[in-house]
Amino acid sequence: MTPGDDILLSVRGLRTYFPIRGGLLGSKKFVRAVDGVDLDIPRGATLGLVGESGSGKTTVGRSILRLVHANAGKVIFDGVDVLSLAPGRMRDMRCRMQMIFQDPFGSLNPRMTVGDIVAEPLAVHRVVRRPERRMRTAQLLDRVGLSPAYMQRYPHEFSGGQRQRIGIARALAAQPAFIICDEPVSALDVSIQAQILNLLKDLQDELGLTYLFIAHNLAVVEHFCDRIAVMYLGKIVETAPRDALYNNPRHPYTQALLAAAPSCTPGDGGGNCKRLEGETPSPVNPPSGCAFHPRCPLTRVGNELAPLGVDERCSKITPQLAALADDPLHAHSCILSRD
Amino acid sequence: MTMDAIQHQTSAGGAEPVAQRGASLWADARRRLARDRWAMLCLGIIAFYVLLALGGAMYEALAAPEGGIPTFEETINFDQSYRPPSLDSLRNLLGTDWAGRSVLLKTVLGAKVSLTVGLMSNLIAVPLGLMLGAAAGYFGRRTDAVIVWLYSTMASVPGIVLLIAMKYAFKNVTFLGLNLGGIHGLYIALGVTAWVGTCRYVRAEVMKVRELEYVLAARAVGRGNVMILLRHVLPNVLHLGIISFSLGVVGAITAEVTLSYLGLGVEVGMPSWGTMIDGARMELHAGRWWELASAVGAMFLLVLALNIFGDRLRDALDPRLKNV
Amino acid sequence: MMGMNTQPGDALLEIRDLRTHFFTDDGVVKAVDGVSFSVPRGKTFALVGESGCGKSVTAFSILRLLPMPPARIVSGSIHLDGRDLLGLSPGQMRQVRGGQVGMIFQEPMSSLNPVFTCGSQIAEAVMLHARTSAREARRRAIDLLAKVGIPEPAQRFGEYPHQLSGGMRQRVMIAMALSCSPRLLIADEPTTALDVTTQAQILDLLGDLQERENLGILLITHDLAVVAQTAHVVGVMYASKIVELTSAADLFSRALHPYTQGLFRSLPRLGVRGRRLETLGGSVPNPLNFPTGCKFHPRCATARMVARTMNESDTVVVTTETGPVRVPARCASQEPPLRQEQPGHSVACWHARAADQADAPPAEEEQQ
Repeated sequence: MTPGDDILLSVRGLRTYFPIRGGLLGSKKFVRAVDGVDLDIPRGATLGLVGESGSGKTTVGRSILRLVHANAGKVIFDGVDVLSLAPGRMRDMRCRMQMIFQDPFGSLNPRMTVGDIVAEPLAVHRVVRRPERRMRTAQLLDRVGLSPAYMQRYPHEFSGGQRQRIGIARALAAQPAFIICDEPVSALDVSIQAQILNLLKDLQDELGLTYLFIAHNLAVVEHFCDRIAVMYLGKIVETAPRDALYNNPRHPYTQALLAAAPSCTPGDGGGNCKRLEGETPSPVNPPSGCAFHPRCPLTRVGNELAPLGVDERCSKITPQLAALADDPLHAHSCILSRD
Repeated sequence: MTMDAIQHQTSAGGAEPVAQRGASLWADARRRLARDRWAMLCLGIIAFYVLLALGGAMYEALAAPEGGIPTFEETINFDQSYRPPSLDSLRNLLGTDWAGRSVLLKTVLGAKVSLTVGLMSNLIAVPLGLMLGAAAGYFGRRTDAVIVWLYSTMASVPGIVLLIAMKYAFKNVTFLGLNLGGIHGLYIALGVTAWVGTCRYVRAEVMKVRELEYVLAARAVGRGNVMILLRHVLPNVLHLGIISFSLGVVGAITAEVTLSYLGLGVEVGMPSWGTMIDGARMELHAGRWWELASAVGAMFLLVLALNIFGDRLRDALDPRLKNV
Repeated sequence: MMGMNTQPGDALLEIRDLRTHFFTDDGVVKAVDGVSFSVPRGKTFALVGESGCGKSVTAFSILRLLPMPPARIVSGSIHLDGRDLLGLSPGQMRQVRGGQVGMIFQEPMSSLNPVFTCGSQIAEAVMLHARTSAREARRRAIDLLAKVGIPEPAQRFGEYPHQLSGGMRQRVMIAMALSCSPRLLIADEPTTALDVTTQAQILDLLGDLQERENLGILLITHDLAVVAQTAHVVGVMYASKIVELTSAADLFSRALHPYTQGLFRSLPRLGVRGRRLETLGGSVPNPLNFPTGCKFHPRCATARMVARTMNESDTVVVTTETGPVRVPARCASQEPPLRQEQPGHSVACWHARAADQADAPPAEEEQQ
């Protein structure tokens, strides 16, 4: 991947705020779920969007597909600004961008047969005519590893992994170029996760799909993605190609996240590494300056500029993503770890 | 749980499994209901009343004044007044009223009135409640505000006052062949006051369903609001409509009885359980208990059966109870 | 059968041949079917497995927290500190719950009552088991909050569950479970609902508490990484039975059961990139319709490999999700017992030796 790559999806300055009811006087407050996010996904690549709960990663995905209303920013898909499309044009756009959901139980309508669920995009976009629809549905089911004989069955008759396959078949039905995978394996059993990840990989190779892969499991992301963006409180704090991010994480939050990820070696990580203190603050009232500064080990430890605890720059200046001098693809937003 | 997961390793031989029709949630509910003895007993009782009502309707259709089968009015025979129940004849099984008419026949004709009122008023109330509730819950914002205002207003007026007011307002008004001052007016009056409960339940449930991922998935696929509402939201709240219906019939039947007792229900002279109770209350002190007992007993058994059946139906249809 | 690490009576919790079945309309679900293990004092025993394998039912059986009916403990024995729990009356059982045994759950939000303050819920738990004044209970509750690492415990005492974050709530749950200084803590997926950084904090806390209080922990989890971080002894459950039982160090360095090996190979790990994951084909069997013989044989790579070296007469062809496969006849007809294969390492597999020698055979039947 080089900067000159063909970019399929480009997000600039995306902001999505959710209003919440304020106090008695009705002062309006906002959850700043996504607060100025930039992303670039080259055609055929997989971008992993990593973050903890409340980081806004799911809202980024939903905003791109306009499933929630974004307040500001641009989403350029194949040269078209998705956020400014008229509703009719947007509907056509939806066959090119699809989504796979996290919850294999909640994402399928329990009153519809599997065949009807998978055929729904075909019906909406009139991809094929009615008589062919059945055949096409059978092909799709077969492609995701389910017998077409199950077409007349209902979702509750399937296991979690099988349901996730149905969800993938539905996403594929519209023949999209780009799929947002929102935690597609985090609700599945370990032995099923690998099956689904392999399936997604095979489909990508075969159909040239581009993925935005939203997840919290760092090991899954490391396995699956080419490029990774780490989110904290609505902002991207570090983005880099996979190897650069995992070998050389620069932002203290990324470092802490990697240190906290449990590994499969017994006795490893038991107290010998530094734990991040506290928890993610509320996105209604994010800390000033760098949102990570109240938990950040860097701003306190070994910093002669901050004898009283917190470096003033961290609590005052809102940091911007900046690329490393030696790697233009590796950018982070920590002022203190700039070289 | 993977209890429901489809099993593959059952049959020998590697043949493709034969396409099978799965069991929908509706079929599941039906199966669970069929296994419930109480529900089936109550359903039997309800079916018996339906047959009675149909019999009553058939009698009214066949009876013609002068000749053939005598109409109910023509059975007046003051020689037979106030006969107590006896096993002599079918006619006198439950005794006779002040005009010598059979209380049994009167009770059967009353069943017809009660069930018709229950059915018709709920055919108005439940679809109205479903539609308004779904619209309020799904669209939210202004739509929701208007509908909530509407039902809050309806709910804050005592139902009986509203019914009386409508009754008098439409007295002797006929519209499109409907007798708004009479029984048709009663259907409508009961219908437009009874939708509030259904609407509330449905609105709350739709607000939950609206946030589920399959609704999001339908939007991601490009479905419009109307189709999402029809295909994804309504089928998942329809069970609330069915439950409302079965319990709503009870409300309508008791309301008819109450109104008729107050002289505000069916037309004077039309045999219904309400008018029977109304007419019989003056005769109790004379020891003539059978007309009152027949009407109350008939109503009690039907209402009890409907109530129990409604509860069992709710249990069978509730998706949350599944997988337990 | 397996007295590993401990002599009978020496263990804190000793479970022998536990069978918990659910009698449903569709048939008998043998959710736990002959499970035996023991939790040593002051150590962590992890019961690990996928959803529906029976690990949670095992934990709930210990405290009799299952809906009965449909559930019934059909046979077996559960001894806590030498005392038979299954023989206790419901009243005595209430004393055990929250007394000698504390329990924490996966979802810290729904396991706390939203209408009471966190502090008062802990104080109530204290008063339920120790006869103390309300004032004393309050003091103990604040001590407990401090012990589980909640900053400003006196102030947090008066806060409601919804005012706390997920990690803080789980700390409150732990404080509540510890309110009567239990000997055993049952932790049912304690970190599954938490973020990575919070999960690490909670696991550290459990480790600290264990050391300070000599607490025996029964950890129920699906996450092998959590097991690696915290457990001393591990039981791997598959289809209602323990299929492998050994020390954590042994399990992670040399798993012997083909299922455990398959799990490890299918796990994406930190530091491993781009390689295609090997998979365990198929899915967990339906408890209403378990395969005959070894319940893992339709998915077992070792069975297929062994069958290839055998006479055809000693093998059979079975139909699986992924197509027909040839497996040893014994795997398909006889259920292997859990037996000691190496010192302190028990496995329920007819071909554990073959599996050991050939660990990491390429999984041939990739499910796509």
